[in-house]
Amino acid sequence: MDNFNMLAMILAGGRGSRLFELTNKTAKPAVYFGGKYRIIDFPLSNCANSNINVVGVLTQYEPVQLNAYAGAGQRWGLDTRGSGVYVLPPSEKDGTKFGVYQGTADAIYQNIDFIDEFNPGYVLILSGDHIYKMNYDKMLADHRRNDADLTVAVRPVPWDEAPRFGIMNCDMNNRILEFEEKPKEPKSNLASMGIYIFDWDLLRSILIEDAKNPESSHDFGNDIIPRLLNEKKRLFAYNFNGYWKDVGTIDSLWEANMDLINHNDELDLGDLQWKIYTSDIPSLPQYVSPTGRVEHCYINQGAVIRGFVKNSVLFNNVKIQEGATVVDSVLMPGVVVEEGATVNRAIVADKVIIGKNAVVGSADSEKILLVSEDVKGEN
Amino acid sequence: MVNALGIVSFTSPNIYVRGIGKYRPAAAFSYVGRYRLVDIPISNMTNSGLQKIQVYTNGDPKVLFDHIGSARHYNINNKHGHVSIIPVRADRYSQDYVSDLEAYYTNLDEIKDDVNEYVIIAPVNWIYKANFADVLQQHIDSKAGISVLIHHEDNVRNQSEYLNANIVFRKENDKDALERIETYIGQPEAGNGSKFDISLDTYIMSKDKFIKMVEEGHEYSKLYWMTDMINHLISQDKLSVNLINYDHPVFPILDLATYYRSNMAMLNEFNMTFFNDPNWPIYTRTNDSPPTIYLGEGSASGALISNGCEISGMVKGSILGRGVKVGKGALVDACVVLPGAVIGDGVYLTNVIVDKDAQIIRKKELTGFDDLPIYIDRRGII
Repeated sequence: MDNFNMLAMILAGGRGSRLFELTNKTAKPAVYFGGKYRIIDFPLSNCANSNINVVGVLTQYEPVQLNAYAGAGQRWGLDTRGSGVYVLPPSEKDGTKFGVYQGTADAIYQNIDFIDEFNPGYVLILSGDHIYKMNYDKMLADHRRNDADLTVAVRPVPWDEAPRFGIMNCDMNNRILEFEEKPKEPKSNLASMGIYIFDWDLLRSILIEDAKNPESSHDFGNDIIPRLLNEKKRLFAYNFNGYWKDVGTIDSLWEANMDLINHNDELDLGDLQWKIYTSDIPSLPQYVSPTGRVEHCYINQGAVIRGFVKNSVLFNNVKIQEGATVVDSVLMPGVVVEEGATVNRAIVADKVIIGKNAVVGSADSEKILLVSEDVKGEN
Repeated sequence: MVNALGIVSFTSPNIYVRGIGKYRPAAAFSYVGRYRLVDIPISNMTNSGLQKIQVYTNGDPKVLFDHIGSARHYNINNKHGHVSIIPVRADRYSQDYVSDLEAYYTNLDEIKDDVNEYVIIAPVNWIYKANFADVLQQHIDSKAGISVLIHHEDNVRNQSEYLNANIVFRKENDKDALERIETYIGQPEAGNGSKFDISLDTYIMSKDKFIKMVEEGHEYSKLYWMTDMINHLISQDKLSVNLINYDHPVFPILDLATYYRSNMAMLNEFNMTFFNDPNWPIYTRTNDSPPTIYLGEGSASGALISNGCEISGMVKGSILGRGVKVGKGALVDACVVLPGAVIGDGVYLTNVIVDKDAQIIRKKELTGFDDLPIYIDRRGII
C-alpha cells in the first residue's frame, strides 16, 4: 500500500439502545434500512465507491450478525487482491488484560497492529450508524490540499438544534479554531459528522500517548481533537451538504425510510454513479396479486402483496395477505401481515407475524410503534 | 457433489424468437423480469450439486460473459467448481450451421480432462425444476446407454404451443422404447386435445458414451445434432434409451408466442409457488438496483415487478424487468417489459413485448393479441 492510500476504520460497536428491541440481538449497524439494505451498507459502499480497499469494522456489542455480514467483503466488491473487509472485535493481547473498547480512540489504539500491516498514509475513521452517500476520496484530496493533520467532515444543522451536536468553529479557510461539544450558545452551526481523516503517523503517536493518560476517556471528540487543537495542529473542516441521517431512534429510522418514498428524495438510491451494495437475495420479483393494491410505496423484490399498502417501505419476502391494510409503516424482511389485519404507523421487525384481523398501531399516534414480537390474530 | 459434468446446450436454428432473438443468444433472453434463461439450467445444476458446468453458446456471447462472470452468484464454490462459457467457433460456415455435437467436438479435450464420469446436458429454452442428482441415479439404475427427460402432455390445448419442440415417438411394439425424436412441425392430425411426449432436450449419459457419440457424429455428418445422432444410433440398434418422465410444470421458449406465454405463466400463483422455492432458488446476477418506487397514482395488480422500477401509472397482469419507468396515466396490461424500458405518460399498452431500453413515448396506444403480442425493438423509440 503506498502512502497516498487510505485505510478506513468503521466504528460499529455501538448498541443503539434507543432502537430498543431492534438492537436486542444485533448491533445498530446491522439494522435494516430502506427495503433491502442494512445501515452499515452505506459506509461500506461509500468506501468501495471511493476506491478504499481495506476496511476494518470494529465491533463490540452483539457482534454475531454483524461479523458474519460485514466479513463477506464480496458484497461491496471489497474482495480483490489487496482489499478486504476485516471484522475487528476486541481481542486479548500480550501484556494487557482482555478488555472491551474503552472509547472510540481506544478502539483504534487496540488495532494499531492491524493498521500497521497495511502501512497506510491516511486513516479514515467512520461511524457505522449513519445513512448518507459521501465520496471520501474528495475529502482526502481536500485534506492533502490543506496539508492538514486532521480533517473533520461537518454539515450545517439548524441553529436551534446546534446545542445537541459537537460544533466546529472555523476561519474563512475552513481551518478549525475551536471545537465545542454541545455548546449552550453555539457560535457556528457546523456539526461534526464523526468522520475523520488523520495522517496515520500522527494519529498513531497520539493514540499511544493518549492510552497512557489515566485521565483520558479515550474518545476522539472529548480527548483527541481538543488535544490536537491545543498543540496548534492543522485541523480543517470538510463541508458536506448532502443527505445525512442519524437513525438512532425508532422515529428517525422511520423518517429516514419514509424519505425514500419522496420523489425528490435526496438520498437517491437509484444513482448509477453511486450504488449502495448489499447482500444478494435470490427471490422472484415482487408480486402484486389481482387483489393487491399499492399506493406510494418503496418495495423490494420477493415481497408478495395481496392486500392494500400505502406510504410504506416493504423489505424482501414481506407478505401482505388479502384484506390486510398497511399504512405509513416499515416492514422488515419476512414480515407476514395475515388476512384482515391492519398495521398503521409502525416499524415491524424482521420475521414478525401479525395475525388475522389484528390491529397494530394507530393513524393518530404521534409516536411510531415498534413491533418486535408476533401479534396474535382474532377470528 | 454429483459425479457429472453439466453441459448447458444452445438452441438449434429452428428455435427463433422474432425480435428478441436478433440481439442475443437464447441463453441470454430475459425471463420473468430479473433472470436470463441460462440462470434456470445453471441453478438446477448447482442446486443438484453439480460443480463443473460448461455453457455452450451460439450468437454474440458478450452478454453471457457479463452475466455469468465468475459464476459465484450461482452458489458454486469457485475453487473446486467452475462455470465456463464456450462460444461456438465457425471457421468455415455460418455459425447457425454449427451443431451442438460440433461445438462439443471442438471442446472435446477439455471434456476428456474433466474428472466426472457422467454428463448431464440441459437446454436453455425449457423452463423446469429438476433435481439432476435424482435423474442421474434413475439413469444409472436403468443401465441404458442414454436417458432423455420427457414431459407427457395428456391434453394439448393448442398444438401451436409445441411447434418446433422435439417430440418423442415410441416403438409400436414396445411403448417403453424410443423409436425416434422428431421436431414437431404441426401435423394436421395432431389437433387440439392430442397427447404428446415432449423431449425436454435433456440428456444423461456416461462421459465415455458422450465422447463416442461426439466423435462418431463428427465423422458421420458435421450437420448432425444430438437428436440426429440418437435417431441414427437407434435405427442401427446401437443405443438403448431410457425415457424419464418429468411430470411437473414445464414452459417452452420456441418462438415469440411461447416466449410471451412462458413469461406470463409465472403470474399464475401455482407456478410461482412451484418456482419460488427457498430450497431450490433460481440464482442470477444482482444489479444492485434499489427497491421499486410507486409514485402518485402508480399501482399494480396481478404483476411481477423487478427492482429499480419507477411506477406512476397502472401495471396489470404484466412482468416488468429492472429499472422500467411507467409514466403518469399510463396503463401496462398483459405486457412483458424488459429492463430499462420507458413507458411514457398516458401510454396504453396491451399484449406488448417491449425490448430492453425501448421508449414508448410518442405512440399513445398499442394493442396486440394475446396469442400474438406486438414486439417493440430494443432501444427503439416509438
